Amino acid sequence: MGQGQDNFKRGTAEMLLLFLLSKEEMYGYQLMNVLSERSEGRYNILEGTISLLMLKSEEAGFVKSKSVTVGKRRIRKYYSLTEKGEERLQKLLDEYKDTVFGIQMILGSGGEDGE
Amino acid sequence: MNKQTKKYLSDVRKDIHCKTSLKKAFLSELKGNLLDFEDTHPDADYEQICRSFGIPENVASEFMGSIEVKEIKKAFQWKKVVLIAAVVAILILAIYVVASFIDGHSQMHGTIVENPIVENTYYVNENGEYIFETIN
Repeated sequence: MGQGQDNFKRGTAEMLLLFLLSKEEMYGYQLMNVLSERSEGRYNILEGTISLLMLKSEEAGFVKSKSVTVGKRRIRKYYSLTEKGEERLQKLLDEYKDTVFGIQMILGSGGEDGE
Repeated sequence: MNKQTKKYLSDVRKDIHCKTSLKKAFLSELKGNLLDFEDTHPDADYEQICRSFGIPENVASEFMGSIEVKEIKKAFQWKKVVLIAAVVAILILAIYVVASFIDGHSQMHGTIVENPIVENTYYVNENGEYIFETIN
């Protein structure tokens, strides 16, 4: 995997995680799997990125978590989006769409203006 | 948690250097996800865990790469303070041990007797002669 692709994923991971959580509450491992499944293996981000994003998003108030006991003693953290998180997601989506539109305009021009 | 998972978690922990609360929260999150993985893959070996979660070094560096530089600096500053405090404590302890050793040694082999200070002086008398005197 190229470093450029890694950076791109890192930059868009927050948006995608918040997007998934806007649909339903999920736990960390589930988020990792859903990203991989829905992208058919094209979008895999490392556990470290997901964990840190969840920790930071919770600290910033974009997501909230609830602990659910699984099995005998295990606690699993389920994340869901807050109102503040929805605003953040909307902002990230707008920025993403704007950037992609700009990139497509550049690629579509074929570099003719630069000659 | 099985042996493979424990080893994986320990390998990630080795390369995480940040403030304790963040490290603890991250490792707790990772542990939870590893246990979820273990539920669905009870026979997974170390390599399978690495394929799903990433090589421990990469997971740690991904995490470290996402932390703000000031947080890493803060953690290293604390380490520096602890290191300096440890060095000072060791020095004080070393001085105390050496002093105790000297003290014990002198008590076992007799006390050190200081030589009396002997001062020589002179003056010139009425006849112009030099008179030498010793003062104890």
